[in-house]
Amino acid sequence: MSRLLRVELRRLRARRLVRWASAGTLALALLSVVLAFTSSLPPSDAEVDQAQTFYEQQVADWEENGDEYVAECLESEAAAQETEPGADYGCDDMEPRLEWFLTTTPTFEGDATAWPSPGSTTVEQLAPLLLLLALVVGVSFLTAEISTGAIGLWLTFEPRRQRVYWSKAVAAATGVLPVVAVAYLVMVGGAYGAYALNDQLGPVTADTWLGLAAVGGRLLVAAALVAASGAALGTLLKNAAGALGLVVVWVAVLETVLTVAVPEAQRWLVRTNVAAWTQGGTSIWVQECTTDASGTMCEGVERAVSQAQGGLFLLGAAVVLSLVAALVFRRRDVS
Amino acid sequence: MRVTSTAEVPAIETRGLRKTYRSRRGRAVGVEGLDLVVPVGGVHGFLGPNGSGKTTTIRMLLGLVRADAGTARIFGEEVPRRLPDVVGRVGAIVESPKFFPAFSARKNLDLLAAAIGVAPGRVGEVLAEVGLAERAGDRYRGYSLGMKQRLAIAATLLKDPDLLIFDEPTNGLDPAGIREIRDTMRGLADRGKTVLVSSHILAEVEQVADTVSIIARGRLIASGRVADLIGAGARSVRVGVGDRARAAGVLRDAGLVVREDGHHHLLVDGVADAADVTRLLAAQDLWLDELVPVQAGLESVFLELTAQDAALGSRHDRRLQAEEVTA
Repeated sequence: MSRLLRVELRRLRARRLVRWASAGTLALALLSVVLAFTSSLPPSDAEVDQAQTFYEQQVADWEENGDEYVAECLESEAAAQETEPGADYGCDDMEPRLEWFLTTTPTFEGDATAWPSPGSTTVEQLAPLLLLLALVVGVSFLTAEISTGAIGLWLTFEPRRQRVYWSKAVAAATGVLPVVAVAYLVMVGGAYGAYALNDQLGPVTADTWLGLAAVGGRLLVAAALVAASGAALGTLLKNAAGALGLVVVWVAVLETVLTVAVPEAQRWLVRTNVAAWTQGGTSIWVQECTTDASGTMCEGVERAVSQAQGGLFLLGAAVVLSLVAALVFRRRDVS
Repeated sequence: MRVTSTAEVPAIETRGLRKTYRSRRGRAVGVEGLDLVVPVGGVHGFLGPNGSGKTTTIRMLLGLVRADAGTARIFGEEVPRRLPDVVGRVGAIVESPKFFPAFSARKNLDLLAAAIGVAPGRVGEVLAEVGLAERAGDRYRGYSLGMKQRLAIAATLLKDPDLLIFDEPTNGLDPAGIREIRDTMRGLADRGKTVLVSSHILAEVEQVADTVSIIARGRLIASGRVADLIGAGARSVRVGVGDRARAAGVLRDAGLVVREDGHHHLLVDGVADAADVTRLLAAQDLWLDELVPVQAGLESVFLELTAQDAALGSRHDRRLQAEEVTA
């Protein structure tokens, strides 16, 4: 098995498609660095001038009508407190400030709920895109042999089909890891460098790096599982375009329709679980409606999807698909 | 079925091998109860018309296709169950060779050699053996058909197998390529290997095969040494005579089968002794200017046998249809 695995890894590395896909993945990582650089740029002089102009206009208005604005605010606040005690309209903090008119520049570290997102959060959100490489490599690695008929020749040299299948699946799953790891390091290191260049690092701590390392580790696990799932799909459908098309239609179309039609189903969608696993948990929004005498009232409710669920979902999908594919590969006539 | 003697220990043996395929009109029979014996050593021709089940049989032997029924053995080992035990002794090309098109010949063979634990140096040896050493670095997709076949043979030689299976190895080759492959097969057999070559090009097999099996519609219809099969069919003489019409009448009256050969001669079948023809015609004052025994070729034996089988098959089919209508 290990000999076959070594051969399959050699074949994987020698494939042109893998090389092109790896180059594309690294290009994607570099593109994210460019985005990090542009989004961490401080406001330009023109933006500052414009903000200054808006600010001065507001100050002039405030000096003329500020007391009236405050009075109106306090009146509205008092009215609101009749139904909602403790309502605070911030009437004591209404005087214009310059920073209100300047676009906020995110830092590398910072409040993950802020908008725009800090650089480290953006890296976490973009990292799952690297899984596309794993999918393409996994699918094409098997379909290339099946569609060219080379698998027939291979089986005349090694007829133990289970060994042959698992050596290919494991080669696909492990072969993508170095590229995904390098691409992720480029994303993280590049984003850090871009924010540092623009002096927008913020309070980067050891926890920041630990968090990013954890995302990277989970990303590698996900890449292996996605590549194995891709290899299984390629084996089952015997056609790269068909297998990749199925995944694209499933994730981009079917899951979008399901999100709208059955919001509760989001919990079991591929993209939700990929995000939950790689980002250490995610959330979905569903409508919760209550009906009483006055009618039906709906409100959006946030539901958490745990990292554990995401991991188990990906693992389960990979295991089920791989077992089915191995069984089919074992019994299928090769013609 | 005509069966003549075969060698002692079989390299390949099948019993009642059967394979059907799903088709739009139900199940199509690929191989129907095939009993095949390939002796150890020499070249064994595996003959049959297109679609007669040759490739399906080879695929079953190599574990690429599952048999519906029957057993198959290679060197006594039941396949596909024990194929891993014997695969090291078998090299095979099934139909047109299929390598990775973007890899060079050397890369393709390197991978195969590594997969079976053959020393890398062996790759250079087999490439040289088939005359591809100078083009070993070229991409496989740029190879001519003949080069692809030679590379496939090189792949089979990596293991230094005892049994080589070539399925239609000369398809699409030019005469020089055909001769090259033929010489290669003969050379391997002369080195003690067993070569099974399937083909529908009979002249090619006749020149190289020691023994043959002929199948039609998935069944074995003849098997044995080429010389025996051809000898069994050598019963014709070509007759040159002035008055062909009267001579034909005389011979027919004597119970012989007479045909015109299209070149001003008569062909007389079913002749036990050529001298009988001389005596019969001389007795009627018909004098021969030519009397030549006609040696039946493998092709004529093959055509005769497959035609008989086709006739039997169509009668069988008609009887089945009649039974279905009656039922």
